Amino acid sequence: MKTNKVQEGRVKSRLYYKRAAVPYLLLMPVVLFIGMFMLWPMINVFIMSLQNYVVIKPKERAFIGLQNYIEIFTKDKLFIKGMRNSAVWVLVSVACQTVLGFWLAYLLNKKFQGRGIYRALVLSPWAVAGVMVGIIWSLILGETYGVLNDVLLKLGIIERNISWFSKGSRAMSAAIMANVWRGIPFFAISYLSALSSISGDIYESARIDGANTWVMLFRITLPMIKDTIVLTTLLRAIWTFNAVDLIYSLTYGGPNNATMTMPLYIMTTFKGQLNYGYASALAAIATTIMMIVAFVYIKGSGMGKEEMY
Amino acid sequence: MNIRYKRRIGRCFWLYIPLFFFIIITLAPFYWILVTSLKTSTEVFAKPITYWPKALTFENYTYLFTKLGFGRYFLNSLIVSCSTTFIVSMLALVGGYAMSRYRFKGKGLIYVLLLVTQMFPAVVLMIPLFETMNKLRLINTLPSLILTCSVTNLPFCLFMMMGYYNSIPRSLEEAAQVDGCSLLGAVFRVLLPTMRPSIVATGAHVFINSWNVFIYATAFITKKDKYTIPLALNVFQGEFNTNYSGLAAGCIVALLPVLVIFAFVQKNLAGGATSGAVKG
Repeated sequence: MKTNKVQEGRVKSRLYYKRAAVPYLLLMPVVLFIGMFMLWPMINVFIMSLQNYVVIKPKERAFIGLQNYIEIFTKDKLFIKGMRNSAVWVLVSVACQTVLGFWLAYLLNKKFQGRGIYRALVLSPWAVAGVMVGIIWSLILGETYGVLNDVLLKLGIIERNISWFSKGSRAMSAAIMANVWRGIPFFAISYLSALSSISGDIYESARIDGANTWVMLFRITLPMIKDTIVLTTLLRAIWTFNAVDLIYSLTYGGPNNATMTMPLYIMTTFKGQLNYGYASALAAIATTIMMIVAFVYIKGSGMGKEEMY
Repeated sequence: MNIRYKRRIGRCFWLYIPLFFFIIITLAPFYWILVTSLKTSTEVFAKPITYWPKALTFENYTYLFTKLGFGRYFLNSLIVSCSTTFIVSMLALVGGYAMSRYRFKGKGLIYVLLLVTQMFPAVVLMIPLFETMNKLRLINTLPSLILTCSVTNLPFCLFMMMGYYNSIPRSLEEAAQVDGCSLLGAVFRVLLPTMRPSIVATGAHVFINSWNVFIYATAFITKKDKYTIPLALNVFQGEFNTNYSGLAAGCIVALLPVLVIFAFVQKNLAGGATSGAVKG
């Protein structure tokens, strides 16, 4: 009797451990994969940032402590310029995309004929690669052959052809314009799914209580999708900060480094000068700053107080 | 009568005019590229600018495929995208199931880990990954891109999958098990078929992302016969210089597959993109 019970217990515990191991087994490939090709490389960046490591001078590779960092913070003017450009690039892009994306989602949430096909068309820039956006818009913005100047001339908004890429602020606005064009659908998609989850009853009862459209927008809709707004803007801000391919193919940081954002600066240091150590230090700083901003943003917005996961 | 009229005007003002505005700014760039790709290279510079080619020509497309070898690049892009899609879908399906259906120690940690990796910039990862790929002797090979695309797409897709699993009640599998299915049988016969649209959406998401991959491609690939489409276009953007119609044709070739896929799955994409991450 007793042995039987013990045996039963053993079987049970073996079964228990077997069951408990299942999720770990299922997740093992994912964790291994990410560990090998994302976490370890990330640690490696911080290690390499402490080295003097220029590819064409392999003999001089050695640990030099914080020297790269010191140089960045004290001497490197392009670093400050890059950070400032990145700040403008991210803030203006994301602000425009948030507003326009919400507006589009709001429209798409209404019923009208041909909504399905309209949606497929209007959201399509989502699928276009950053490099391609750069190329497409360089063909649109070209000074003499570009279509935008022609359209603006015909509408009487400008009097002469604008040369978009010769002046810093103009080149930046051109890049932001292209980026906004591409980013609106992402916002619209995520807001749309949040909007459609709000039940119509709430609006109905609000209408009976005499609320107009604006009141409903600010008192019901926006508060109800707040978490989605916070998360979407954060994700998009991070991706916009990281995005380099659009600017790479549109302006390549020019003119006179006016559109040189932080990631592009990292890329040119890495690919152009082959200075891996210095590029790693820049990368480490950029990543750290981004993490801090993201953390503060999540904390400050009070997102997911009920439950995050 | 009056009220109905007012309402109709209001609807026109608040709905149709904005809808028109959005569709124009969205489609105009596509239209312009298409038109440019059908012009001769001299007509591109002609004054006044033509909004429809005077002499319709496909010479730019034949030029791409016969002279510039875009067939090869197209195939390369296809290999990278398909392999990546397969790998990521498999891993996300399995991993997402574990994250959604089990409670276990370290779940929170894995969740945070996945969330944090979302923030790693491609330009930053590019540097150490170049070293890794160099050690694995994968520089200038397509597997370097497949590996990188897979791992960078994985966290987001796992979130998406997790959200989809969460949206399906557990009782569905339990009912199947009561009816005599094994757990695996329940997953394969009941759960996965109901999730098919979501799986397709996730796959499409990965396909589009890896078709578009650029930063890693510029870092890892320098050999011409291993170029992917975006990389080839960027290189030729420099070389083309004045052959803008050829460049536009290249854009159309690169855009066509992703736009078609996107058109088919965009409906299913809507729910998953962030809801998985929000609701977890």
